[in-house]
Amino acid sequence: MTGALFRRWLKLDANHRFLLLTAPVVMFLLAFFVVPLLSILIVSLWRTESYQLIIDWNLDNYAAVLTEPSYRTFMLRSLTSALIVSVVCVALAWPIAYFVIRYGGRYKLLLVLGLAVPFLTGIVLRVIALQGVLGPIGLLNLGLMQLGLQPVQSLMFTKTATVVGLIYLFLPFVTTAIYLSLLNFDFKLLDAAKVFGAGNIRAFWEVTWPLNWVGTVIGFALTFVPCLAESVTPRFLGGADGTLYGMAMGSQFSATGTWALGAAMGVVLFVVAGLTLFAISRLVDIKRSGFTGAGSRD
Amino acid sequence: MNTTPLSRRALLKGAGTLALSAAATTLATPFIGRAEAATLQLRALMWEPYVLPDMIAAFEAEHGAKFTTTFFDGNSEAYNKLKLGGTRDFDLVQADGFWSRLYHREGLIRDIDAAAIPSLAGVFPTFMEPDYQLLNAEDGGVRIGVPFCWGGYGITYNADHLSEEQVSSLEVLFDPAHAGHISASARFEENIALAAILVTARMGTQDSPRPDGKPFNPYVLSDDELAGVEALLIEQKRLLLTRYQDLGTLNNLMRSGAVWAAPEFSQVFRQLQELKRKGESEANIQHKLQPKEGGLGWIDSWMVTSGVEDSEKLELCHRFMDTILKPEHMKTIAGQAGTSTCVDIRALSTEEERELFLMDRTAELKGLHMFDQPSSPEKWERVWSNMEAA
Amino acid sequence: MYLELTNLKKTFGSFTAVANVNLSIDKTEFVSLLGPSGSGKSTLLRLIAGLEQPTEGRIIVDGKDVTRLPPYQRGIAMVFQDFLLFPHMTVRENLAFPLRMLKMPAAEQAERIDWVSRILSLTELQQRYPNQLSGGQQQRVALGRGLVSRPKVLLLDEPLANLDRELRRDMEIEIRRYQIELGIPFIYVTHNQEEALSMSDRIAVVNKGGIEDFADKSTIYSQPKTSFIAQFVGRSNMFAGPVVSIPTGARAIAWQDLLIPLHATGKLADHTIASAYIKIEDTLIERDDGTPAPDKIRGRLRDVIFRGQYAEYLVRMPNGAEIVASGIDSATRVSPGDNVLISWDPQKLDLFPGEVRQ
Repeated sequence: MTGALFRRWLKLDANHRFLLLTAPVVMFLLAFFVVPLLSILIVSLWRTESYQLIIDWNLDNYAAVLTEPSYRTFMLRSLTSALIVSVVCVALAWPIAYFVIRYGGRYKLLLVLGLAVPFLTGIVLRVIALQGVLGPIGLLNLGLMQLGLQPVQSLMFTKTATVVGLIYLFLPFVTTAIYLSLLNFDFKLLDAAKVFGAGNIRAFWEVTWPLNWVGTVIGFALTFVPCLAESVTPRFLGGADGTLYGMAMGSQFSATGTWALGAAMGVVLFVVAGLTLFAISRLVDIKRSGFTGAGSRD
Repeated sequence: MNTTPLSRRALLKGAGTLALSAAATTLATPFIGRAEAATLQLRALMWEPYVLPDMIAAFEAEHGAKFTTTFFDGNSEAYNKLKLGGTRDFDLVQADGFWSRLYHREGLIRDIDAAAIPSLAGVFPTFMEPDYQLLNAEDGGVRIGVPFCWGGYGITYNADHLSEEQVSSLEVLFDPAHAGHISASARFEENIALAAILVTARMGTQDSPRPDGKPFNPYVLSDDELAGVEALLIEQKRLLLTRYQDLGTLNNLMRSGAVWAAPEFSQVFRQLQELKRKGESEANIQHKLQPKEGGLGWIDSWMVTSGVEDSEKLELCHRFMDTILKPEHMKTIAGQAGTSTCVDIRALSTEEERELFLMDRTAELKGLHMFDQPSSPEKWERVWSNMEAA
Repeated sequence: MYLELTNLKKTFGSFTAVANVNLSIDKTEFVSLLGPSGSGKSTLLRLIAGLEQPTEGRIIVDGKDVTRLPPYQRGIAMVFQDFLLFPHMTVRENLAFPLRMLKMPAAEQAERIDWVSRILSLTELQQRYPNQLSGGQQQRVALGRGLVSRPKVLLLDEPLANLDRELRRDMEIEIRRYQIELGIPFIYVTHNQEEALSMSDRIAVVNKGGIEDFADKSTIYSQPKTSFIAQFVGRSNMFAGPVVSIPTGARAIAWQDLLIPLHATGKLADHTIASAYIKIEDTLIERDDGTPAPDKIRGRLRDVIFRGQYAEYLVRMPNGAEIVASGIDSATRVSPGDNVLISWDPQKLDLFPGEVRQ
């Protein structure tokens, strides 16, 4: 049986074999990427009326998303918080990853896996756990009160709380990206930099930073783009005034039933995220990334 | 229900980011062929807290059928599922208030035979015609669903901080004096409808001619009233500690004394009363079902979809509704979901339960405005977004 | 002296990597640190460079104590084993790096880079990245980066280890030429005795963190001071065993069941253990035509390994042990399977007391 199949396979020419081999991949991409995206695009050009999608080709949804101050506010809030979160994550992840690589010894892997422990639970549980820490009667405030200090009311249900929550959620991604980058970095290059006249700090900026720039940028993008679409964290931590773009977009589908508008918001988000990725990719000069560099071979 | 912090009304649609793909999947649904059921199946589109595993197991054994469930949160979600061909995917469906008639108007559900459901005799008269018409078709008066559970969207409040006098008016939820101690749900429909009751009361337009020519319904608003609602909700936003996303959060916030007043389905009120009785909570939490300006209420129902055509399946649906409406099962539902039941279970309940579950107060439901579909979800969405972005 | 190491010691925990090293190196010298891997020679180099801090001792360069100075204040440059060129910089930028760190004016930088590019033929490669270079080209850039700042000392850590044989030979000659031209000491770490012997003025043989001997390269080769050097430098046959008196009045080493006559036994007493080494090129081989030869050892030629200008003869003794002799192939006219005689000039035998260190 399999022998017969194999013989038939041998009779196929290269084109047919290529088709046969790539068909599952193409089908997968079509089913899970192209078709959903296309349907979003199509729906964004229709309109809804009382929970009914009406095929009525128009650009009103885009006009609303781009001109209504409320959606612009959501987008601006999301861009700002995504930027703050990404920058803070990179700033925190660097020393963590660096410390693990340099001093982790044989516990390196364990330490990095430890970063992934919160992922064993869902995002909702993690956010709720943060509520338990930051909340009005959370660990932080209970601790402050134990010390006889005033509880901090402003920590919970504010945009700051959302940012703190997002940093907590995305720090492991950035740390892992930078860790993997440092794992492939040849620390002996620092010896060369020092012998040729650089102090510790200078050697970092001249050699370590540029050669781990790609990893850093990937970590940044891994935070920035999902932060733009993030809806759970602001919903649970952000308070009444903390609505971000992804949260507003989500409610178009789950609550208000204004699908067409939501789809247009999705397309706009897709474009903004794409532009961001493009801008970020312009920050990378692959020739200067150190990939396949002679210095890193053993 | 008491063990899970999430309720169907808490709208814990965690995966907001996944909404896009969810929408895409739903869109694709009509194009996917449906497998024909090989054995007799009863497929329910329902609210998750109402699942009674023991009852279902017994029912399956008795009728040799398979009972499968699909859950939803808001009425609009179930409505959209049915609209997109779901009448052939589901036999039984649940909804609130006015939604049942909407389903019937659009041919999503079919009429049922009240005579085949003897348990209806146990339902409080308040929930049956002529007192309650929404489960009968608008034209012929034929029965389209059975009442199941009911409740309000009253104000749960901390009696140590607020007097009964204060919570007798919706103004308490918009009073700057309580800034930082008020919370509200994250549901846009009920937030707008509740604010609309206050706005129309202030404007005195409740008794004026309404846009739809019918009696006042907070889900049918003029543009002026909507503008007033938007302004009021923007004012209120600064006073809110947060919008609670799940009952667990509201429970914590009220128990700790951080929040003094919040509109809710009275589940947190019942949870905290229970804790207080056990001595595990000191907070004196009370519930005001109907403020003087008016309140919101809901009656959950069971209906049979228009996809059920053969008499054997219809008979099975009737049998299911009859079974779940039996007082012993409704008693379990009340304990599990924390809701009041439309079936009279006073004979099975203690004095405390009679009070806690408002069993002697079903008549108050008449003063409540039933949950409904917003007159224009598009306009309401804009009001909500403007408020959130303000 | 130009570079002086005094009582230099470096320990890592309980492990002593460098133990009490004293070295004095002249300004025009090419010195090799020769030793097996793990002998501490690289650590010694890193101590000089300032990449490690010594536990004890002092380092003086050109009259200045640099022991506590960071690497970048020592005026020392280094060529690394795996080149360690900066992969994100072009060749020109790599060459400019040491000059930038010195805050040298741009014009002067360009001048230096041109100079070093000229002598190392790097001019055509300046805009390339290291991963676009061959191994030999990378080596030249690494060398250029070491020389461009005109350091006081150039350290080279097995710089040819990653190059193929032919290229290595060319580079040996080149490196030696630059050292002579620049007139600064090169300290060259290697485990390859051929490299050390071909380039150095003097060789320090490093073993177990210490210096076995620091002497002229011909002395190191032909008059090994310790049995380790005798074993490590050049190729020798070794005979180890107790010292015994033989009927002629001389002494010999009882090795397996043979007696190896000794020329001078020094203070070695009977029955003490000693080892004797004879370089394979001093080991003579001839056909055994049956005439008595009491001073020679009989064996059977097992194999001949042809090495070009000379050949190695693997001779199996009746006792099963093997001796290697080398010579010009055409001169010997023996072929595998022949019975042969092995002999040497007893004066060329190097004798050391004590156990053999393997």
